[in-house]
Amino acid sequence: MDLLDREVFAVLMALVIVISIIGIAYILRANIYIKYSIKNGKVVFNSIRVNDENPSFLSIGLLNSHCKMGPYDKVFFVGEKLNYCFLIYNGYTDPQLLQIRYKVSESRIPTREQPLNTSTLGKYVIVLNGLDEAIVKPRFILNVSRNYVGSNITLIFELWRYNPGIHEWVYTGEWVHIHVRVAEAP
Amino acid sequence: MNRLIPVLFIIVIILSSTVVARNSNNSIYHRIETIYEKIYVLNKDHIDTTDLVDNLNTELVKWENGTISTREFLNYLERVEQNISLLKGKVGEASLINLLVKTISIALFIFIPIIFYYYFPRLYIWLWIRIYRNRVVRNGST
Repeated sequence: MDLLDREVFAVLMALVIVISIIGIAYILRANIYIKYSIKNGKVVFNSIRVNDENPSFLSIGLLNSHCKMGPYDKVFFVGEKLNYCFLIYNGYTDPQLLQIRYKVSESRIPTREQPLNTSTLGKYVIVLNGLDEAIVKPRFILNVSRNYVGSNITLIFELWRYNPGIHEWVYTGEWVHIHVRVAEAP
Repeated sequence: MNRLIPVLFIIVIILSSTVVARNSNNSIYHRIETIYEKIYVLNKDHIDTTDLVDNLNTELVKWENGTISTREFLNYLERVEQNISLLKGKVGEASLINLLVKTISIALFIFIPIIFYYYFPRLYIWLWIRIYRNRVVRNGST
């Protein structure tokens, strides 16, 4: 095959032009970050990092006391520490300040649009880098009324994010819940 | 009645210390929100904040789990704020580097087809000659 044949060369040129256009589109979409190191109060240039734009989402997952998926503890007594871990993923390219809000209900759960309209019994704050994940083990206590002893309740853990534009915490539409039984304290 | 006064006094002290602790926690959370806003702005201004966020999260988790005291955590937050103000001074330079990197990259991508059009045939012929220069053309019958 003669690569300098007019038709073959035209195909090669077309390929190179397409690759070039894809490259330009990538550069225009990409976020470029300049990394500086701080040493003895002096800021020194370190490197350049290029991050492609990704679909943006946040997620929360419930893990058991060993920070693994199931089996989960389902019986607690009033005042006991909840032995749960959470996997939190930040699918944004920006860092996110996130909060797990712990609530209790008899059976109601939140929706994608609305958080549960009950008081928050516990909060846990973490800050995550863009496209980063973390497994956390917050200290949440089952501080419900003793009237619930012997009945089933739903533990709800909602994921909230801090919106720096409006300086407020906003509900992400992500939550996890688990139905547990409240037992008499031993 | 005489015994009641010390008991009431202790109850008031416990309640007030709980309220003070809750308020101080709220003010720390508010400070974290302010620091996060600054980090977010730095990130938008093309400054890499990965290490800053990683370290802040490590210390935040330690504080929330009670591994470090509130005083230690406040000292750490102060250092973070100092680092943020140092990095703020580099915003202009970072924006310029971002603009340069993007412009140079786009210019390179635009030039690739032009360079290919002019130099690929020359390179191809040069390679062809190098590969076939030892070959001898002979007259003869098969």
